[in-house]
Amino acid sequence: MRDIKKILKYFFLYVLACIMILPFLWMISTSLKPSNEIFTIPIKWIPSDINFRNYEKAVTSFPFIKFFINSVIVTALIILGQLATSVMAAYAFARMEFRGKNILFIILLTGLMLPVQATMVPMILTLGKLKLLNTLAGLIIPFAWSALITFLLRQFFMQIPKEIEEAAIIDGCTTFQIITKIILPISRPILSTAFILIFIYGWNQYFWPLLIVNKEELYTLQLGLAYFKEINSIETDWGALMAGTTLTMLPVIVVFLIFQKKVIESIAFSGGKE
Amino acid sequence: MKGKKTIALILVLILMLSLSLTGCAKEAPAVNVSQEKAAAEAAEPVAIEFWHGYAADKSEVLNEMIARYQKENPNVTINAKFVAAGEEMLQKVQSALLSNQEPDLLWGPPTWTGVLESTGKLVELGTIIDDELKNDIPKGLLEAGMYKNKIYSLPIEAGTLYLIYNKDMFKEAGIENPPTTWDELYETAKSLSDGKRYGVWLPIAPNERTSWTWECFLWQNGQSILNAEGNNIGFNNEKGLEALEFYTKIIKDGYAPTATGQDPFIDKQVAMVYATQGAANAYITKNNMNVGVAMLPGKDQLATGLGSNHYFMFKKDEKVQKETLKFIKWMTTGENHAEWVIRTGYLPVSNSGRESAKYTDFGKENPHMIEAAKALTYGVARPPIEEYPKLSAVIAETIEKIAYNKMTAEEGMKNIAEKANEIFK
Amino acid sequence: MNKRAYMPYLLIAPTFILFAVFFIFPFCYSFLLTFFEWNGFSADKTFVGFSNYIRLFGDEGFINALKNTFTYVIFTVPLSVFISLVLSYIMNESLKGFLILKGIYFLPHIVSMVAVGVVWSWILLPDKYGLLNSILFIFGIEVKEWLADPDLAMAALIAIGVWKSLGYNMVIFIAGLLSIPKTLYEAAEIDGAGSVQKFFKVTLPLLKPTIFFVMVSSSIYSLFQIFDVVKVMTNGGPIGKTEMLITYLHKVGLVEYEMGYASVIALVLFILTILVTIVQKKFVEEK
Repeated sequence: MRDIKKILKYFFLYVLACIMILPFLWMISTSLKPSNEIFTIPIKWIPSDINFRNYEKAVTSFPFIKFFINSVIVTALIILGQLATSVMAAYAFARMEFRGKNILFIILLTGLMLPVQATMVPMILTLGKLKLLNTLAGLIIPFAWSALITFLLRQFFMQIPKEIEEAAIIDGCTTFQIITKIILPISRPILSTAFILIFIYGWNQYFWPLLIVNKEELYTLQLGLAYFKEINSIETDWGALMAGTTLTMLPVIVVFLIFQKKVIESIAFSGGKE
Repeated sequence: MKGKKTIALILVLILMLSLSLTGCAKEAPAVNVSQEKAAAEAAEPVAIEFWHGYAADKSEVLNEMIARYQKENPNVTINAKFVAAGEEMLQKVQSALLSNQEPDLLWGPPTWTGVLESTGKLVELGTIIDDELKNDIPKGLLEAGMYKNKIYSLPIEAGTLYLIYNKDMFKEAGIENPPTTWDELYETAKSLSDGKRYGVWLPIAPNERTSWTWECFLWQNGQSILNAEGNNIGFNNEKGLEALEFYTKIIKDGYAPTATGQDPFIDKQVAMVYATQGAANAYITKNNMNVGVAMLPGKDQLATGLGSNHYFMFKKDEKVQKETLKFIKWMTTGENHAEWVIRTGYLPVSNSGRESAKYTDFGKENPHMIEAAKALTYGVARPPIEEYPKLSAVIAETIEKIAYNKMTAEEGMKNIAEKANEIFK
Repeated sequence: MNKRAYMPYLLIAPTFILFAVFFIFPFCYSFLLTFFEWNGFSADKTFVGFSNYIRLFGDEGFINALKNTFTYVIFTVPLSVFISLVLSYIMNESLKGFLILKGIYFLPHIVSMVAVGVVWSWILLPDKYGLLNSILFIFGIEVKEWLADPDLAMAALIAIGVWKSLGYNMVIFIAGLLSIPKTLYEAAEIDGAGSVQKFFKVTLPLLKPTIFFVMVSSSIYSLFQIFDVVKVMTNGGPIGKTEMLITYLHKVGLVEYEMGYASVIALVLFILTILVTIVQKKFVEEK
């Protein structure tokens, strides 16, 4: 009976996984296809002629490496900024008492509730005044904080047993020492998770870089990809677009696998908390 | 912990490095001065910032031609860059205008004219172009760039809707010739429909493609979108209603589909489609389809939708404007223009371009392009006013409701008229 | 000690400074804009008092979008949270394994929207070429026009919305589940608890903060990020049956050039989101 349950569970999970992976498979398939096979009905999953021409095109049609490096720099700094600011704020909200704590937290949460269409104009005006338009800093500073990540970390920090901290306070640790030596090591799972989420957010950003940057030297990878999209979708170079998109997705997948592994390893290592 | 520290250190170093680089970067100045040329030239060096939305293939052609132009005009540097495709491009331009970062030369559809003009930064091209250029562009195309009776943009390339049909499907059904009138369209569509496949695709989704396709029927029935004063719709009459009824009748009678995939023509779900010469090109070269093309079936008259992309100029330094105008003229006339439209698959916008040796030779070998060029002469442009997107949305949504039997055609016409009154208030 | 008193404020300062510059200011700007008519380009804005607000009440497009948004959120959020919780729990039992599988579940969150659109259009194709219809056909269920049928399009979008968010929610739930000390489970077992009781007595209570987070982030996701899905799949159709507040706002503001009115709709969306969050907080606290 135990085994049947297990088999059923696995079966169910694997079947569901098939639907999950379909679009990704289509992307790969399209990137390897000649253009006349892309929009056939029913979908032709296996190309008649597998070749990497689309990948060649994707990498050579625009300064791929340069844009890749820009994306790496911008994303890395956004991650640094968001983790640093969010860890500090989350710790304060989760573990400290101070006047206005609850109100301030709720106000911070509202930062998630305005759509980009409403903030577009004032953001551009602000960045203009701050002389951040068309600069690398303009791609990073406005995004170096996150209400969402602060919220996420706060929920987790709230669950850490108080005794651990109390011991440290008695020992005379400063707040920063408590955060770096006690809270952070215990929070590896959620920090790794946060890393993944911020990475994806930063790496996949398209709208803001589009508006903030004019100089081609500052373009990120996503902006480069748009280069294959035509106004009329029938004329879009789907093969090259999917090849470029696949290449752009690879770092995301790699980061996910690495950091998910860390999430699991760190738990196994610390053997639960105490 | 040690690993984390190293990573953090590296990131901080990167941060400091990039900040030191960007710390010196100011906003991109409107004019870059190229130092080497300055000494030698009598003419002062000028740089033109040019934003466009041409994807990879067309961009290549553009860059090649710009390189040639720069050789012929060594004091000019044209900084052409791809910005974005479609709607996003307008958002980019909007942001640029709000922060004084707009380019010198902008490529875009004439529908943007209304909002661009409201910034006060758009140059009224009509006042600075010479008569030679003015007379070189056919009236319909010149009008496409007009707003409040002033010329604010010049067309650089044109497209038109015409009838594209699947020759194989026609053969199967035993039909030789494509329809030339509304009645023929109805009958042809009927004989090509068998419940699974349909005669023609008449879009009903609430978007511009639907409005634009339907507007062709409106024009074919002798009506215009706006009234003579330009302050309300001009088709709230019998003939306008007739166009609504005819369009939706084909759909409701089952000869045009309501549910489609991305492109029902490629999917062979329909035998005929109203589309541009660019699409025809793609069907032939990318999808290896056996297609024929023809002018759209007419009623009171022959008419089709004129699509064009334009060059806009923003107010800058006089020298920059002068050189920009020179470049615009170079691209839109004569053999250069012919080369441009030939290599990009658009239709020519100037008489000198169309009548040039290059284009006439090209026409001989590409009949589906010549058909489109012919259709262009019957092309009608959409009004470039600010209210157009709202009006277009109302039209498309009404057509959809009629097709789904949520309204009769009469109610639909009333609905459009009422909403139009609000829109134009 | 005096130092401790201002420490919390010091800690939240970086976040709040950036928050003030890059959110509070845009919020105030957007709020002020609700009293004007503006096309987004012109140097002039026309003051119109409350007329944008009044317009909401008579605007069928807005009321339609409000209804649809409501429907969408009411179904998508609970389904998404519940299903991802169950899946996370099942997957979590084997600690080391399933890494690749987790990655696959996460793919819908990061894969190109274009690919999502194409594949789901194919799955939902009206005739028997569509994957879903061919499966239903085998079971003798009638073929349906999923995306073109006014009554079914919303259901299709809900399914896609849930599908897309599962992986994201699972990543968070799994981190949460892994944080629950094993010793608590062991203690419960000693007390004679079976797996169901363990879930309700140990897992659920300790998971509350995580569940609250996932509920709120799912709600926000379904109110805002749904924009891309709708744009690609139905563009608000058929007959406006899938027009959401966020897509309607986009249309009004950026396509029809009415930034003032769009700002009012954004304000409505804002208030709606706050209400949803408050309701969820109460729900989590009661449970």
